[in-house]
Amino acid sequence: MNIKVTKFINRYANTGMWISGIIILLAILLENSLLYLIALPFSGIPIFYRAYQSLRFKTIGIETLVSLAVIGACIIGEYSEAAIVTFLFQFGSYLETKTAKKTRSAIKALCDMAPTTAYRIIEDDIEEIDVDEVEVDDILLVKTGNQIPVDGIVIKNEGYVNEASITGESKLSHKIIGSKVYAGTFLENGAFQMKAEKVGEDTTFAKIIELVEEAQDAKSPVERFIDTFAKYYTPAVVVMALSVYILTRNLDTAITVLVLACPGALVIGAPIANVAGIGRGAKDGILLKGGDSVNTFAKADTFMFDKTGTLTYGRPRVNKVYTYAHKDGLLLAASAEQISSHPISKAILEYIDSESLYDVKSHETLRGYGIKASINNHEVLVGNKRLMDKMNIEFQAEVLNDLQSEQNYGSTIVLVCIDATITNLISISDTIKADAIETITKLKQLGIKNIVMLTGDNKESAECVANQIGISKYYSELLPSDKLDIIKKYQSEGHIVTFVGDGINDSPALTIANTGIAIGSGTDVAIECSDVVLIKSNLTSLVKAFQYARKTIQIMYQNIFIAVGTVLILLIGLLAGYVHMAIGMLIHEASILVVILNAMRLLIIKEE
Amino acid sequence: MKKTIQMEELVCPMCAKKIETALLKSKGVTSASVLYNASKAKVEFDENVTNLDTLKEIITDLGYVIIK
Repeated sequence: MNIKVTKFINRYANTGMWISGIIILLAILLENSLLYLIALPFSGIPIFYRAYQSLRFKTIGIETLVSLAVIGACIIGEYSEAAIVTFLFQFGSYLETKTAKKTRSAIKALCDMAPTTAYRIIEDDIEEIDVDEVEVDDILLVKTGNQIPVDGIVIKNEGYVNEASITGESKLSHKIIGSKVYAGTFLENGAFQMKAEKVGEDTTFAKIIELVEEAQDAKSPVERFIDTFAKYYTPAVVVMALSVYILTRNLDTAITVLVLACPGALVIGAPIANVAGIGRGAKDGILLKGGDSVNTFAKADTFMFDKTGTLTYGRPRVNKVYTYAHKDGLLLAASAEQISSHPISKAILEYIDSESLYDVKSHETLRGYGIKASINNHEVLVGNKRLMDKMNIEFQAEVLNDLQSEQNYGSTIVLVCIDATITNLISISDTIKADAIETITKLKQLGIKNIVMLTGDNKESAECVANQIGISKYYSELLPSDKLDIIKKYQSEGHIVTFVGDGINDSPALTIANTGIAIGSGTDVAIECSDVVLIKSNLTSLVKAFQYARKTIQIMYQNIFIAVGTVLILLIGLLAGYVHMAIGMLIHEASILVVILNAMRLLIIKEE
Repeated sequence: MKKTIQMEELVCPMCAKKIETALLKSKGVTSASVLYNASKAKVEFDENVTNLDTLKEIITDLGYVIIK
């Protein structure tokens, strides 16, 4: 019987609210007070029922307060007040659900990106199945335009996958036999067969969604305080109303107190800010791990960065090219590099990025030196200075000059020699990310006092990167345990430390810092040990995340202020004799909407 | 065994608490948490004592509609 009642009430609560609204309108127009009595149950019953249910769970909720007030109003014959109060309360909850739903929409958009179907291959048959039915070791077919249904490994053919949802990398990733593929990513070109390795809630994509969902429910210290406060405050309101009645013998004032002191806006104000802030972050590839994380992160005064892979790209890139002769030199060098899989060769090929490379007639890899090749009847040498020395190549004066100055920056130098003449000097190093300087500048503008770089690399390369970016404090040649000691030292001096690392080899530092931020991946490890995960590998999202966290906390305090302020003003108004029950309820519901709308600002803020 | 039950949108945080308490009281359930914002119940249970259908029934009995 209980089930049917609950279902019925949940289903028709809104209809009842509208009906009572219309009847109340008629009552006002016709000046017929009997109509108020008819309107009352349409909005009143759901409230009474919920009040009764909370009592069964031994809690006094807001519905209990309203119910008591309504009963009181009926006793003193104020049917119009009673009906209007119930209607306003229901109307307020209706708007509250509507707007709160909007606030949660960010995470919904993320969930909607989840794959739904898979094509399973059994012997020679292909069947379309629900993604939930996929089991580990199933063989699946993925075609162009399909979403990869589960995490797994490519076992046949190849394709190009857009992995932006997991890695933030917008460049397509080439997947060949043996490559790992992730649920939720898109196959943009090609078709392959894959073997399922992680299914259902174990996929990386599912874990990201789970993280965000749990985060939205994970309460911050302020929220926990409010929860505890509300638990004692609500019953206290009943006691307060009772004392007012005993003191003044005025039932009207006593029941008005019940309505006015409702903690509605207070209870919803803080959590809704978190839900909105975390949802907004998720939409931009920023995963904040809950109210606690948001709170601590917003208070950070010290940022520590791992160098390689965080401030720099973590792989060699061409910095600068000097040309001395033969305008075709670079293209010839790149053609020679095609045959090599060395990171330096990759960097050069990436830099040249040409489709029209020459065919290599013959080539020879000289380990530790470089490459010797014959292309278009030219003898091409690409390699380090030792290779040129070995081949007795003479250096022009300007080459020696540039060589000297580039070496001072700690870069790797590649020389190109065509037919015994040095034609180019290519300077290669692990370059700083395009947005690194801007990020550090912004953090300084946001009032961050300590910005520190930590690295295991040697002093020269650390100094070079730190100077370029504008970080004055850096520690080099560190072991992983040294990083921990430095973090602890700052913490013991009372600083709130945020550590930013790539999430792969920095897990201890991420864990020990007040806020650990993993950048550039949504992998298990990163999610496990950090408080904030930046799916995109650019640093701009770090500043965004920090701004979102601060804004969330700011809005949370604003909401608390609005909520408490409303109650105080109403109580003063009551004592002064300006406020009655219906008006009180109206202002109350308005304050609830104000705090929700205030939180919704988080969904639309632009970065500053 | 750990399972997630997706319900229709929960109306109030009270509802989440109610479902959580009811699940925890049920035999064989080792842990249960209801995510209010996501309207999801996460239950861990001993499959020798109880099963997913029984747990779903508990939620339906409280008057909430299960989607998945």
